[in-house]
Amino acid sequence: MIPLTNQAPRFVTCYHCGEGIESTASARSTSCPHCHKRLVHDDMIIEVATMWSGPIETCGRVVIGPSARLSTRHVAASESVDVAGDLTARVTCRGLVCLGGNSIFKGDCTAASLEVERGAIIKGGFFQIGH
Amino acid sequence: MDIRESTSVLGSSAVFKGEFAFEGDARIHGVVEGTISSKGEVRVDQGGHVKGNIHAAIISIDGKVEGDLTATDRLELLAGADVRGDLLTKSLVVVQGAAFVGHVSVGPDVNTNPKADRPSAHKSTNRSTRTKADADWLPEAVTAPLNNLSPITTPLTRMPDWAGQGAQVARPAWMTGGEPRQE
Repeated sequence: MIPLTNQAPRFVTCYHCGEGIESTASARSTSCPHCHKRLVHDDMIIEVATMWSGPIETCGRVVIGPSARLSTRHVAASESVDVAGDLTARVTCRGLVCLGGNSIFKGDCTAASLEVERGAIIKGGFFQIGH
Repeated sequence: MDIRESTSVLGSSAVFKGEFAFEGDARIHGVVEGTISSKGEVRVDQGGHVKGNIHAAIISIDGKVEGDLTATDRLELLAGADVRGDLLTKSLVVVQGAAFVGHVSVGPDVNTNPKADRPSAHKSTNRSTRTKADADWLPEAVTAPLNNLSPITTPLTRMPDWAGQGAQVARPAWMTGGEPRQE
């Protein structure tokens, strides 16, 4: 068993307040010492068609697979949101939002940067990128 | 990037005001206050600043734009782009570092006609200001009967058929100017 002290720390960003947090690499969730809200560290990978009533929030990545169709209220990710399928949601990302060539996105988007591949379809949401 | 002969260049040391229409390509280095339209490519370079709408086949932004962008073919936001306005295009390319705020509609079905209505967020929902174009999304089978309706020409005094021919409404005498009503 590897001692915890030998594991490299993981730096994540709180998707609530935006403050940086140092955590252990094996941690799957924690609470933000600044805003005291619960944080999820796991990456979220959606590969099926589903409707999710609650928000999808993580300090890592959110990946919408090519065959996935996700309709949800809010998607928040600290690192990135990669969309290859259909996504209907309000997206908040402190990193990169990537819309693949076959993706269909409907909703508002707030992100540090946006990458749109040729062929992606965006259905009239409000975007705030880089501000 | 080589500049072709048909390319018009608006220099960096000038301020242009008005409505600009280009047959070919255009490169904006200075400040433009007004609408720009082109059948070719419009490129706003670094240092360029456009305060107005741009409509062209290809729009490439590396400067600052305060207005709506409508590209019939392709819209590129380069690393130095700072756009405040709505984007309407069939194909969008955003390079990392670009910044923009506004509504976005991207896809092959997007209507990039300059006379078309803006994205739905700006469309008035007031019934009194709605036009026939607002109902264009309805199938023809639905709109045709509505358009073929004849105006109401029947006088309001005519009795309905179910009341029988020559039927008269029995009115009290005081309504027809007869004897006054006895209270």
